[in-house]
Amino acid sequence: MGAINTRKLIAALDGIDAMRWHGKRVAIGALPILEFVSALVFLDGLAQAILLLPPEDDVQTREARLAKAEIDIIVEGDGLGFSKLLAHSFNATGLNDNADLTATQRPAASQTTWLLPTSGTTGTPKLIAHTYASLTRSMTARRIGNDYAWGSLYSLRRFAGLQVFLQSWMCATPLILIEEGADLHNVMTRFIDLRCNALSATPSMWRKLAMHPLFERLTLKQITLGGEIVDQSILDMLNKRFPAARITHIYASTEAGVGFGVRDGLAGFPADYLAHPPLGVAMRIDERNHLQFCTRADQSPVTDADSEWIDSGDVVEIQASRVRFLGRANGSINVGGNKVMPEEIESIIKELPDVAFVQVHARKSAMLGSLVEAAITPMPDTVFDAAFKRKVTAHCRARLDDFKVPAFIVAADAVQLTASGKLSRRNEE
Amino acid sequence: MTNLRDKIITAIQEIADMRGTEVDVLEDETILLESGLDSLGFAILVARLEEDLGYDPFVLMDVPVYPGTLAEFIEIYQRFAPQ
Repeated sequence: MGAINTRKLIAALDGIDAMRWHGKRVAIGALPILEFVSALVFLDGLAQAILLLPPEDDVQTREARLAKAEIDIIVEGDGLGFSKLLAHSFNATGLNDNADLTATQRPAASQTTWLLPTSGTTGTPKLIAHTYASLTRSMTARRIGNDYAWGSLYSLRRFAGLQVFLQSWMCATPLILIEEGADLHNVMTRFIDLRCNALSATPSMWRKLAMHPLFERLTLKQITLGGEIVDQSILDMLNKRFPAARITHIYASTEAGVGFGVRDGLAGFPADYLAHPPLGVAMRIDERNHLQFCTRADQSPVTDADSEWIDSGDVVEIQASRVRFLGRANGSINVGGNKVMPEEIESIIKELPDVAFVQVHARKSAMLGSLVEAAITPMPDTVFDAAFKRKVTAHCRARLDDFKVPAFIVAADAVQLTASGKLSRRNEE
Repeated sequence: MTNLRDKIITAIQEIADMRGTEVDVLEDETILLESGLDSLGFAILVARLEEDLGYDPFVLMDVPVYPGTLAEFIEIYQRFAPQ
């Protein structure tokens, strides 16, 4: 259909009967991508609530979510038929860029609640209530315009994908949309053809992209990482491959509802942020080394009263004036009473250039509770043999406590990322 | 059961090698925890052997037995070997 701008989109949306959706609770499922974004734009301010149904839900989970959110209407299949209306408005000669778009048939805008499912893969499905304002609070609203062309790597029904969409909307930058389920080769080809120069992905997804033959042909000037711990090796790799790009890694805590970006090319964030927090939200590290955020928004002096602090569940350490992330508190492996953070071991193993992916998890041991196992995917030209395993072990032994050195090193052929682009962690909650 | 004995001794040596520790020459009377194998090494040994042999006698036994010597350790593996 070609390029769509906001004006054309809004003009097309005016062709839909708004009253049918007014004050309703609407769930959005699988839709062609253009229908999907049109539905979001159309329904915000009109529907009472919008629930985004995650792509990977099974029937049971889906039903539970629909019931919990008290949904009136489900939009999926062909959606509301925006594509047809858009095609029509493209052909309409009367539409020009100065058309008065305020004279629409919509009732006065009311605040829509956006219900976003949590990314947790087990337990009862949870819904987090947001508004357009809360979703875009930490986003820059500067008009960046055509300097950037963002690529969309994740389903827009996921938080990560939605964030990229909203950010591009806020800044009026082009966004290259991808149909859900498109394979990586098609995605990369599209990014290259449409001159994508800005991408946001998890470190695991960046590693996956880096292994793709077309990665070399991307021309990026904005690189954003988030959703998982960002280690130094991935920052170095991206900086080497895209020396002119601005690289931002984002720390966000869903528990605390805060996030901030770091742009100095180093993993973690400056320890100075503890004294001078970048967003004005005070931070502290408790005696268990958990990073905590102050719940108070006002400027009154911060106290140590625990009721005023919220635990991010992220375990950190201070090293060379840097706060570094070790892992999730509930994701640790217990080796004979010693707590081991899988992410810490992964970051050490990832220092080796011939390692493409690594995932550390617990292997049950009758003797010690758990032992550490590392599943490694080597780089394409590297053979996974005894010598390779010895090299990994020697590297770990030089850098880690004895009980953290993987007792087992196994080959992983293909790395499975979750729908939000993260390594799936079996031993996590 | 020399095959089992060989497997156990090879595994002990590989683990010591991997962990950068020295093990003594392994005789029947060798006290395992004095041979250079600590409790972590011992746990790795049992997990390795389970992978190789398909069973973990320390999970199968009703009354816990703590083998002192290499001979006792091998005997436990023989006793719990699937028939």
